[in-house]
Amino acid sequence: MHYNLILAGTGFASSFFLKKYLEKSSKDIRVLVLERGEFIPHQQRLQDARSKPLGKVSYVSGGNGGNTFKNNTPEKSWIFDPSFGGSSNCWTGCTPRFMPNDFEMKSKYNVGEDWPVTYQDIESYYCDVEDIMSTSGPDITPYPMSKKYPQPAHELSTVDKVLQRAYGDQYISQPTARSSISNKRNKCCTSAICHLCPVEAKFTIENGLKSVVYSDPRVEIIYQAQVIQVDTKNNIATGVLYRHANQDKKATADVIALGANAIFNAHILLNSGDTNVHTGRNLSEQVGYYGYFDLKDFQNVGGSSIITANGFMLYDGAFRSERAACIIESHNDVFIRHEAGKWRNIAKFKFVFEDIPQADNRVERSADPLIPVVTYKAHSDYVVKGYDYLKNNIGKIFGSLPIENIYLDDKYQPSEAHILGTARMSNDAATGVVDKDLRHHQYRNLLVLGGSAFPTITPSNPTITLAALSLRAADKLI
Amino acid sequence: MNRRSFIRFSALTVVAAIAAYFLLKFDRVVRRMITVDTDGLKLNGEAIDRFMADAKKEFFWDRFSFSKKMFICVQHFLSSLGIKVAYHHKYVQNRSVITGQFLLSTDFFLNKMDTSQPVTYIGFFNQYKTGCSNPFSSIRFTA
Ligand SMILES: Cc1cc2nc3c(=O)[nH]c(=O)nc-3n(C[C@H](O)[C@H](O)[C@H](O)COP(=O)(O)OP(=O)(O)OC[C@H]3O[C@@H](n4cnc5c(N)ncnc54)[C@H](O)[C@@H]3O)c2cc1C
Ligand code: SF4
Repeated sequence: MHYNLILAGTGFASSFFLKKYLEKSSKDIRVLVLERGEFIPHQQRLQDARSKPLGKVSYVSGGNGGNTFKNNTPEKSWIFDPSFGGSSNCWTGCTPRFMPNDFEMKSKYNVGEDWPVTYQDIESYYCDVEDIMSTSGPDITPYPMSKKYPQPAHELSTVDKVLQRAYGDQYISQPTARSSISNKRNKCCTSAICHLCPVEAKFTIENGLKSVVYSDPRVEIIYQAQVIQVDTKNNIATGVLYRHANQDKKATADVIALGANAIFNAHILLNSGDTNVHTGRNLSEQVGYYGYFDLKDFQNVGGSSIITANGFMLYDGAFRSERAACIIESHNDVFIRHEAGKWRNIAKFKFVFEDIPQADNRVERSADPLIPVVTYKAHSDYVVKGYDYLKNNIGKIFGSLPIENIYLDDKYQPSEAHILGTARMSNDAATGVVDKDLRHHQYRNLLVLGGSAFPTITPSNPTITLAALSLRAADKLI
Repeated sequence: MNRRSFIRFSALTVVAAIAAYFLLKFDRVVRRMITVDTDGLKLNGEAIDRFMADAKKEFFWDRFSFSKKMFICVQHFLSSLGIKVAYHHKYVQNRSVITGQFLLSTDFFLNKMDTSQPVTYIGFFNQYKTGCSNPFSSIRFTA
């Protein structure tokens, strides 16, 4: 069977692309979607977690991807959900946009690379993604917005209110795909286990796009079908080889789009004989540290979601030519202090630093065509300098809070759960793998969607941006 | 067995014995921490017993690795002697998680931390089973 489009994966990258692709296509086209995992309904995941003793519940309910790749550097973990909907099942739903300067790091700060697209190029797609995800957020943001967030902002906590008074629009209620009102989904009520929201408050592919996109009669979906490689002839992608029910199978199409995440997109390209020197390189993500603040006679209460605010005080400025920027998350899970009477006199922040991708951090092939090998040697000194600045100035930065003690972790988190780089966007094949429309420089009918295309790693969470790029890619394709 | 392997074997035995000693005591350390931390509360007599039994049923301590349990026991022992060593704050954080899990399993936070009211055990805190159960959220407090 020949298709107009073959799509690998059903996460954000694929589903947003497919939504726009179907909107702009005629009624008689045919799409084949190959998804390596199964469809595990949210209710089934929840039932499963509820039926287990608490200590036996795993964080990512579709498996954490551990057996799908070989990790050469296991101290650095990569977590994702290889099933229908991808990591939308377990994501937290934080959706701050990138800042305009994030797209121009080379010209503005002489570090990293410029993206071949600007903030303005994707601004309208940000608005579309926010509509589709029905995100909530404040009216005033540190980045320009042509349209308000569809849902009102979440409630700040007492701690956030103090910081907002000090920093104004640099400290805002977190933009998020966790509902602040009952609308398309239930209202988020701070259950604080967003990896498996018990009240269906956050956007997932299952609750937001499954019935729209995957029930379309033009779309055929095959589960447990792992794309191994793209077949090519004379620089044209002709089809894919995939493994289904222990058999290798082939399908052909006019256009092929990979939305398998930055580990597997690169692996499929390498399996396909892609010789671009950047393919598989620059695997990266942000670097996060927690900080705990004991507060004097001050209770941290009243926030209406798991992460109540984002601080942009250390996000953008001339300092980025020297050290990494950072976004601050104000956390609101059920942490306490053990000291009587001071139970909730505590704040918890996460400091998430951008990084400059390193070519030695990479995805490679193994002897098994189904299993990529991942090597992550280190993040850059740029991050270390950013962290040192924070450590030396943290008391001053949070000086408006009544602080007793600050404990900033000296160990970074093993993962930020964001998998980026490996097929970077660029203006030409010498400097990257795909162009600004996410089309492969060499195989022009092959699109590589998702965070693999990011040439630099910003502090902000990546998903809303990669979803916006997917909408744009489909829009430009047709 | 030559001298070097004998010394190595003896050192390993001592380490294993200390580890076993502290590990066997982990339950007792937990109980002690909760008892001290909730000293000023009007705690129903069986609350801690029920919590400890439920924690076992829920395999809750599986969330604490062997090295973390050791770390907590050693730090607890030292801090009870008034000695604070490196990473004491990590011990405090772990202790807060444990005491927090206990108090979240009672009605203490639901009663807005009112120390004049009796504190009753209501069931092992499990956010998967009870949504919207964060007692510090906007549902209960206005910031
Ligand atoms: C616990 C957690 C919390 C997170 N929280 C946030 C957050 O708050 N904000 C944010 O912006 N981001 C967050 N993220 C990151 C976010 O989930 C990812 O950026 C996003 O899921 C990437 O989308 P994707 O479609 O590119 O990849 P994925 O979501 O990984 O989807 C890839 C899809 O491809 C399928 N697939 C893989 N290989 C193949 C193959 N060879 N053939 C066929 N199918 C294949 C997979 O099964 C899956 O369906 C979080 C991630 C995790 C794990
Ligand atoms: S904070 Fe709670 S209610 Fe809100 S999205 Fe997360 S799990 Fe769901």
